[in-house]
Amino acid sequence: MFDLEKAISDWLRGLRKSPGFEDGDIEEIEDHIREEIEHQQLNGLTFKEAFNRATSSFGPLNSIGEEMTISRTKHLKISHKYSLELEFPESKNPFINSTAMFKNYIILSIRYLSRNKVFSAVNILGLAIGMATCLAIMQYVHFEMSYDTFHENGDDIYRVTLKGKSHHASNHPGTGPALKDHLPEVKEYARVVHQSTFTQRQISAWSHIDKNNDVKIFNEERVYNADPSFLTMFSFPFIYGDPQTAFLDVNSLVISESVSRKFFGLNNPIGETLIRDGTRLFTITGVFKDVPENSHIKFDILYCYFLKDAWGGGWDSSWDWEWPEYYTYIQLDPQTNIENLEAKFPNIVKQYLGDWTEQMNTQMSFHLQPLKDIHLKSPKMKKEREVHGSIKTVYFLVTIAVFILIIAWINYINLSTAKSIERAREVGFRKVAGASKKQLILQFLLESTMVNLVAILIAFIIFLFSLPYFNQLAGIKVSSVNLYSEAWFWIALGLTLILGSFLAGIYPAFVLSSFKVISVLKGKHFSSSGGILFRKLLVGFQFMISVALIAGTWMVFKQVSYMRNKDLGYCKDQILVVISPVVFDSTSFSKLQVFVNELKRYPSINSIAPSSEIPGKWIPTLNGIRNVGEDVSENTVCHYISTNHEFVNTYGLKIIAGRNFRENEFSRFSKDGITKVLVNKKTTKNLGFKNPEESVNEHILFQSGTTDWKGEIIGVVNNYHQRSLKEDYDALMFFSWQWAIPYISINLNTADIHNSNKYIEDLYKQTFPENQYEYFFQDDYFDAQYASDKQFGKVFGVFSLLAIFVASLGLFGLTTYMISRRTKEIAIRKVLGATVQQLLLLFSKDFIRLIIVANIIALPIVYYFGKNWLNNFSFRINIGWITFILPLIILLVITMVTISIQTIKTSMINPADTLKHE
Amino acid sequence: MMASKGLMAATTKPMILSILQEGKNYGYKIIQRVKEISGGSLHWSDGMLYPVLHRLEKEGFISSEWIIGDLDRKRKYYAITEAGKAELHAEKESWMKAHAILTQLWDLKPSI
Repeated sequence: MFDLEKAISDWLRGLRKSPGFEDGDIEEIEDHIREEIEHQQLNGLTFKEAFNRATSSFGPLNSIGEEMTISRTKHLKISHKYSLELEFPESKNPFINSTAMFKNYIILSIRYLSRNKVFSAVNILGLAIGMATCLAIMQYVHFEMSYDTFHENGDDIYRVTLKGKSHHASNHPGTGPALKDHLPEVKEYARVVHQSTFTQRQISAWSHIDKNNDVKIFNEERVYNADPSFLTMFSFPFIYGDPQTAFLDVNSLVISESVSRKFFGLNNPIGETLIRDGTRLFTITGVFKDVPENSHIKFDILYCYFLKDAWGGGWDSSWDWEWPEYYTYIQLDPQTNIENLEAKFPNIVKQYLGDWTEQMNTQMSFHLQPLKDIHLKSPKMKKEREVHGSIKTVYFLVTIAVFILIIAWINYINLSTAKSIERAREVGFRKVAGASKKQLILQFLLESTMVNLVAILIAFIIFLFSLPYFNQLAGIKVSSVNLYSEAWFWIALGLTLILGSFLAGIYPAFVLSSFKVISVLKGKHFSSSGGILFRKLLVGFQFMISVALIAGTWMVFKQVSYMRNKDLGYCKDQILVVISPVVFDSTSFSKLQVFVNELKRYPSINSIAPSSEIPGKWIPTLNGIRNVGEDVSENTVCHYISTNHEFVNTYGLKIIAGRNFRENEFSRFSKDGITKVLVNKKTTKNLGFKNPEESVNEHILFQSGTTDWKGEIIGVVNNYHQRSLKEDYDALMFFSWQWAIPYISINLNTADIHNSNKYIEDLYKQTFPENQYEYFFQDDYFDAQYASDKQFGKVFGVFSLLAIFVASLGLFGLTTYMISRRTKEIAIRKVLGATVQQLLLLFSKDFIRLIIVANIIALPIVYYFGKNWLNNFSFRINIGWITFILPLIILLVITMVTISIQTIKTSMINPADTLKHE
Repeated sequence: MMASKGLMAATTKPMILSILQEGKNYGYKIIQRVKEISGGSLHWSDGMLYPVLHRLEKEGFISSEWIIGDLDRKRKYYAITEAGKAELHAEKESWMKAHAILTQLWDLKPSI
């Protein structure tokens, strides 16, 4: 018996299953069918006949469903096509068309992306990491570029540097006044010079005594003397006081907000007194906001010794041109032509320094350096107090960021085109439905824009969360810069989005949109060999970048650890350095003697040496020495160290010829006498001795102040690394004095370091109650020289890791897809007896080939840049074979692991399950 | 006479609009009306009408509403909109224009 209701509901179920019909349609059609059946029954047909008639006259569900879909998606397009023969322009409305189309594209893209989770995740995550890296680096670059941009007159301020045998950042004190006198373009000059130039000590002790006679003492290092004009030429804003008048008096002092807080809390300190090194009184006339991190010169305390009165009625002109320690800035008229101005310098140099250069048979020249270039574009100069950034590092980081982004874009291109075969049918249908190639390209571009947009949002989140870590990594203290208020940041961000969407989207869009309808719909399998080659090229490129980064990271790591572990020629591991008291008076030397004698009795202390210098620093005293009988032009430069006979023992130096100083044997400077000195091997070489032995007991002439003195070499110590391994050995000369300040180096038994340190501290505080106890360990002090290299290594390492991670993501996506396409093939091969190893080889063959080729291409590039970088170091590693093998191994492991997981997973499936579907 | 597919597709729109100008109606009845008028000379499967209706609705030429009719069956009624009337007017002009051109070309006498 025919059941009409069941027949209808069956038929409707079929309808529901066929594509194109939605809920409303089905109800409407049900109504239609029922009415037709009723109508046919009235004509005398049976239930069954009526049902059959009604459904057959309804027509083929496939094509109606398609039309339904089209009516929903492309309704206007189709109607346009239908009235093609009779088209008249008045019946068109392009606006409805484009917005509806757009909305539809977005829906399609969302559907596609949410249906292909792995694909979307790989793309979005990769892009997000790439973009987050870019953001982090952008803000780093922004910070580096923001140096000295906050000065109102910044564009007109230049630093005048001095070039002789070497390039100095500082200049003669007379340079500023002379330039202003002779050149109308120079509106103002300002000189600033560190306190150590006058006191020979890096730090000074500042004390304040309040009404209750309570004393506060702090040691300060960032203390400079400055011209009054310094306060007005630059824009360091004042909290209290007036920059115009702060330096009217010689005893004026301006301090930073932080220093003011330390002494006075939140009170206004104007008019208060601070005492330097327990002797000199200053009155506070101004408090400036802390110098921002992005200033090339950083200071906490300024005073104005330059005022002529400070020297007791008139400037002593002999100082003007013989003491090139003063950083000299000039403010120019905005219209000045710099080249023309610099052309006038040689005459001024000749006028003031002519005699001297002639006598020394040397050249001197002044150079202008724009204020804003000082931080990033300074050439290697002596006498810089701050460590400057390097434009090369900036470029380098930008390059890495771009590389990571490119890797992520390549992932997108690769995965999208690889997946295109799956989408061929979609494209085919849409083409049949009347979509033009242009529309399809537009849609795929929209899809890539959406992926990029989501990625950028995630990137922002990653960026915000990782910013503190990144800043720590890159050594940025960003407090004074606001990235988000910069228009260029948003432009760059927008550009990244547009470029990413377009660059990564355009190729897949073209590939996808150019499928031929007929072959696609017929179900032909196709793959263009050109497309596969292109994909391989892209993957190869990713491998190349990875190889370069791995090899680079390895080299940086090896060089840094080489520098930290190489034998320096002295023992740095068991030496504690104590700073001798800053507040010094006539009794200090005898107190020091008592202090040292006490210490020597302590069992864990092996030896103690006071000295003017210690290893790990650039020695500022640099003078000329020569053999007796030679002309002054034969001078060779040498650094002087004042110490005593204990220095050699304490630092474990090796005497290779002659002898050490004896106890109580001191170098005496006298006009007729001979000063006994110790030199190092480098100095004997500079003096022209064939070997150190030859130099022993030889007489030399050495300069100190403006005088030549006669010296006798009593012994030669072996070369040791006075400075980091970036630098060559320095030429050194040692004097023996009863006392040398400020360093007291104490050689300890390492086993008892904690107790020893405690003992030394207590004794120090007891002996010098008015001083702060300051100490450090020699090895830390020396290693501090590598801070920037270590940091570079870390930054390099982290970014390499990120890049490799993003590339691995892409590899993962690509292999996942590749193997999923070949699931059946794997099943058949397994049925035919293939082992997992054979399958692995089959799938990894192509990738291994690519990795090897990428290595071959990338390594010469790595070698070239690596060699270049290593040339910065006087003592450096060889680029060993590991550098070339390591990237290969790492990439092979990553690739094999990725492919193995996929292959094994797939080959574990029972072939029957895979194959029974067809 | 059987019309070509293209012609049929092109004529559905003015036909549906014309039928709906006579008054609100639902799918089945509209098809019946078309069959009735064309006397079977225009023939397509019944179902093909629905996509066209939906399209016209999307384009704003017709509107629809669900009405619960006899036997508690939900039925979707269509009605012509103002835009639909204007569109029909434009279609009419086009068709008349085309008709005039073809009449001239084929030198047909208007039959009664």
